[in-house]
Amino acid sequence: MGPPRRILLIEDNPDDVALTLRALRTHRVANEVVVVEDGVEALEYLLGEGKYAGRDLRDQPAVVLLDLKLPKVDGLEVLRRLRADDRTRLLPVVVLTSSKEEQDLVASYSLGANSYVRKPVDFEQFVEAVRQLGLYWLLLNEPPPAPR
Amino acid sequence: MPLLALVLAAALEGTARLSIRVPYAEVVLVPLVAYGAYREGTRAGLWTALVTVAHAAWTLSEPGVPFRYGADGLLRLAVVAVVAAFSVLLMADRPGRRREAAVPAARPGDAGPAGSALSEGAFELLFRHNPQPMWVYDAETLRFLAVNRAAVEKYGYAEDEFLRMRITDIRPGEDVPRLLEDVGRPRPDLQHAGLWRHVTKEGRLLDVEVHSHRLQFAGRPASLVVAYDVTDRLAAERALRESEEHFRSLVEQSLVGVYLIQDGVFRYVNPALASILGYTREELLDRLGPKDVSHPEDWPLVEGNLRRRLEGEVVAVRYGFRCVRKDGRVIHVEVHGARTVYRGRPAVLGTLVDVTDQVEAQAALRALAAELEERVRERTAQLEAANRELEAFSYSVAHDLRAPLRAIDGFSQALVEDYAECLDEVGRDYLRRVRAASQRMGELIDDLLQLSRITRQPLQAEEVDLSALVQRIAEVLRERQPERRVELRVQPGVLARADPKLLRVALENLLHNAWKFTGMRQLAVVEFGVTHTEHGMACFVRDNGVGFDMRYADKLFAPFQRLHKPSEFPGTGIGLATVQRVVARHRGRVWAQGVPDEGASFYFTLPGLEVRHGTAQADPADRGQP
Repeated sequence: MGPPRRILLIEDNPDDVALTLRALRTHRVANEVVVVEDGVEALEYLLGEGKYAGRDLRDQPAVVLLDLKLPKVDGLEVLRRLRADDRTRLLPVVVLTSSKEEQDLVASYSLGANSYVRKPVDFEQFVEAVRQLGLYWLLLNEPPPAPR
Repeated sequence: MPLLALVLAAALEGTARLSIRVPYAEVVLVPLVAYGAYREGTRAGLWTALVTVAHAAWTLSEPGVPFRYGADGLLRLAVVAVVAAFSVLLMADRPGRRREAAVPAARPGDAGPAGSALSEGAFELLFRHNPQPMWVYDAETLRFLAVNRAAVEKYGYAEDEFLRMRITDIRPGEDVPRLLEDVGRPRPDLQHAGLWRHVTKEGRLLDVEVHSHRLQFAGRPASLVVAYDVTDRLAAERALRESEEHFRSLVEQSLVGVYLIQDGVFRYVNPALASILGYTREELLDRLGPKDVSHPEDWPLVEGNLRRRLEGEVVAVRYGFRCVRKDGRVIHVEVHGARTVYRGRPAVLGTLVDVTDQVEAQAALRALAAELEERVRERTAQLEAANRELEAFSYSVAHDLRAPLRAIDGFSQALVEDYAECLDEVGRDYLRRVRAASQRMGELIDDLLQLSRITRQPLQAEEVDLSALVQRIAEVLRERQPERRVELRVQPGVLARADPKLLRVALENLLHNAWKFTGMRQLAVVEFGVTHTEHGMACFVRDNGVGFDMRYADKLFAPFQRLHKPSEFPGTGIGLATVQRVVARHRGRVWAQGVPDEGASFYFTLPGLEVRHGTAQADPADRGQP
């Protein structure tokens, strides 16, 4: 097994970024966390376009933590585009968002989200959620084979 | 005639005194006998004969010795007597002679002595047995001279009574002057007719049409009268006339226009029709027709309908069209016309109503309806927009309002964890309070979102097993607080037609409350079932918890209303408001009963609520159980 694979956090709220990073740190998740702040940048990163042109697409993150409310291109649209592209079709995407509106849940799962986690207000619950996410996706889950 | 004979006899006697003796003077009068009998009848003939014989008897007497005759004289007297007698016998029966009671002549002016002669049998038939009342009266004395049977029957007087009466006696008193004036007037015509009133013996008034003929009767100027009783006919005519007058006045005073059209012009219009069209009747009658008053665009329709009626294709037709009044104003009319016959030829008779007001009102109504529809569409669009806004708002609340809270809570916790040594107990207490407040706000936001979701979500009703739902919710609650001792009594088989998701939310809130408010009981009892209430069958959730004061019962279901201090029982105050919304969306009602320190019962009705038996342990009090 090579170096621990990285996590892509797509989140525009710096507070949430800081809290997420802190929660991961608290649980000693050593994986590198790449943070992008909007949908456009997320797609560029994952599809190797724009300022990420030429990025080695075989080196995809172990899991994508996707917020739904994003500037420019929202989370659901990012998910749709990822699932429409062969290179990212199987990429594990966890929707990590404030809302538990039914419409968001239904839309996320129908677009092929692997998981849907609601960010609780209670920080301890939030940390617990992140811990479980890390445990599952980084340790237990066997990622799909990297695209050639 | 006997008088004439007497005069002649006297004249002859006079001449005899003057010694101018007329030879055979005794026979001079005999032709008079014959003529008298012929002209005047047997009686007159006999009288004339008597005079003649008397004269002869006088003339033939021996000179100076009256009524003494010589042989010659006696013979001559006998001859005169025999000739006179035979003259009477022969002449009185001659055809064509005037009868004692003359019969009206067949033709006017034919009543003279040379007029038609009738046999006694014909006379009987034509006069006595004539079905029409007839009589003869004396033109001077006005006495009845003869009456027939029909008159006797009709007027009720016996024949001899009649013959003692005058014709004025069968008139109503007030008519007598006119009658006298009438009979006194010289008439050139032998025949005369008139309408009179007669009175029967019983006093009944008769309307009679009288035909009279002047004639001589027994030598006197008289009139033969035939009276036709027209009382019934006149009554019928009067009734008909009255009825016609009624109809005429109805038509004339009618508010509905009435017209009669023939040859393309109005032959009759009532005042209403003229006024509807703005013309005078004189302007319309025989001058203008339907074409002149119809709207040019509607004329083909009107013309077609008139033709169809005139040709008998349809008997009656009812339709509407536009007319142009004399003043140029266009009005809407409705006509109901039928084919009729006027002066022997087909015509159209009909009624016409001005329906302009109705047509305009209908048009206004249609316009109003269209406007209302438009307004409804606008409102619907506004509502939809408002709903979309609400959706967007809720969505934004769900996402954005929680993020800052998470930051407040998260960084407070980070402070506690990472900088604990810089904070004393008071500082840490403050941070705990910050976190508690932010978490509580998170709960409020969640509950509010749920409340709004209940209103926004479309209702999807299906059969829901409430008993099973209660059991599942209770299991979750038990797991959450395994240390609690809660006895759950659920009536099985409670079904309703409802939205399962919404109902789950409502029952969760009710059961959660029951759990919460029985927290201090050694043994909590929570019941669910169905009972009969003043509002019909209702579900209930009952507990033996702290209960509540009924004075505050109306506050229970309002959002953010709480009856307990947060330190006693935490909560947002939105739970029961959510329950009420769920029930209201199912057109049910919800209410509560409570006794402080004894417990609370929450009731709600739902559509299609029923208890299905056959499942385990039914409530023994329930109906249908053996």
